[in-house]
Amino acid sequence: MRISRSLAFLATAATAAVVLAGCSASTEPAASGEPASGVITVGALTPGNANDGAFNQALADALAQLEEEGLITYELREQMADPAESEPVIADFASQGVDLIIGHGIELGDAIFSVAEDFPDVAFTASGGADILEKYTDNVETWTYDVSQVGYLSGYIAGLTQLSPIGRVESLELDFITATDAFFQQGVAAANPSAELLPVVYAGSFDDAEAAASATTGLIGQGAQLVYTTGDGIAAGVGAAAADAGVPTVGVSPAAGEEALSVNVSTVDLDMYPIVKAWVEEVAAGEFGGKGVVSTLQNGGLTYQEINDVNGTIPADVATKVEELIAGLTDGSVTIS
Amino acid sequence: MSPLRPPVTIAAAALVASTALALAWAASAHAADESVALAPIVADWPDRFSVVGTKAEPLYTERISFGRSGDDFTLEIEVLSQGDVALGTQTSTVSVDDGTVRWVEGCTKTDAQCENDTGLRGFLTTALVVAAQRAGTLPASGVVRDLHGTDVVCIDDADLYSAPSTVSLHPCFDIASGAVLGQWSPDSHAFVGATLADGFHITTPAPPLP
Repeated sequence: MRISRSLAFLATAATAAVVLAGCSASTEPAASGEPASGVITVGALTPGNANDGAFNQALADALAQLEEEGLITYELREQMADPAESEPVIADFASQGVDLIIGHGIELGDAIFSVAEDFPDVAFTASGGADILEKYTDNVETWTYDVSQVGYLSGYIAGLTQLSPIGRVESLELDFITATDAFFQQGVAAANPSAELLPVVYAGSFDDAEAAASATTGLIGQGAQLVYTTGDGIAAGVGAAAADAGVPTVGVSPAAGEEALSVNVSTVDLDMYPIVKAWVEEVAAGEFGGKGVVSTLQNGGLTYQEINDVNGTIPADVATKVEELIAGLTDGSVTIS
Repeated sequence: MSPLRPPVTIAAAALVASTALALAWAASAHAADESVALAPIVADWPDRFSVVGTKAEPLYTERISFGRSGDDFTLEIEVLSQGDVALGTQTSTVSVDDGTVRWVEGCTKTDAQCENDTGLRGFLTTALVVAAQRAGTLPASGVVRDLHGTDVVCIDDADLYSAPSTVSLHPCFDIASGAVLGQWSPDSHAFVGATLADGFHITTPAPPLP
């Protein structure tokens, strides 16, 4: 457990003086629910490390950007997966009069809801699956992301490359992987109806990069011109084997290493900035609570890494067509089902 | 485990000063990138350890737990996402039998490989090193690196595996316990892939009382 940010925000608001005086019981924000100053104070918790280049860092990056813009001050507590550790931290934030408390990750949900009951004037957020969207309360907004769009956009980008056949290497044949793959196939078909999809090859492991590399080499031997994967435990192998063969990939994450990324066209990713900014603005306006929020391509909560043309292999208009897709999703002319 | 010998827990970021000989390694003067002899390190590994850690992916988290109990090595990778239940779990168990590694649970390889896996990779690779030690085929040396404040020794995959690797990833073992904590990519000059995030916990038996 580490404190990533100083308690700078405690010195910025009127509440800070009260906190420093130790009068935690009377440190709620203004009675209207609006913060006492123009800068929102945020307490955030992540289950893992904020520098992981992945799920946890998505929140850390958003907070840093909002602080730079002068909208918030914040304290981020990492490695808060254990409710026995997280609940006291959340309660401490709340009793200090923090305006907005963000629990980023399913592991923090129960603790958030538990503490939120005792602090009705403090704004909280909790995350979970699609089922959490209806669990919001007056002072807890819930958040999740659109899994179908993750698979669809990955497939759409793969299709836009016009490379075919397309191979897929996955870890284990689990429900969420096959579900994501179904949307991937839809995305490919939408972008390139003539694209051929080779059968998925499972590495049989989340941690055996060599097995994934071997599977990738096998697919390339079958003619695969592009390989899609998820999960960087195996993506290091997929990316390395693909790089050796000069075959582009989609879905390789940054933690797979530079070599693996050298041929990766793009990967769908989370961007928490627009989501957190909306929460902050709601708190500032006294309009927080009573709803669930979904990160989507339309609201910018889902995004994609800058298109890598892999030394000119990838058509130059891929990014433009992805933006057209997002525009279509936004105006309703494109739907994913 | 004897009740007189409580476990020693090593937090990645805060090594507890203890009498454990193994811990002395962590505080030793080994410089990063220093080549060291493997035999004395492997000989000092305890025959039990357990590790709990995580690894974050862009859209989900893996909760990873693995351990050694004598000649048996187990691994569980639980995929956690934004749902109320785990999305899935990988469970793997191998056992060192003389100088070979045999799969007990979760093998997805050929029958011959499941009986004698000379290509074992990932968090269970400690079993392969122990088997190599017993077979007298332990690589001569490894390279000391720092992973989240913990000294690990990384073994060149070309030295550890008889068949050439498609992707060069050097498994890196906690010097004190032998637990695999990460994979070093000589191409990327970084820990990549199946590497634990900071904050993992390693538990080993305390050394015998003097």
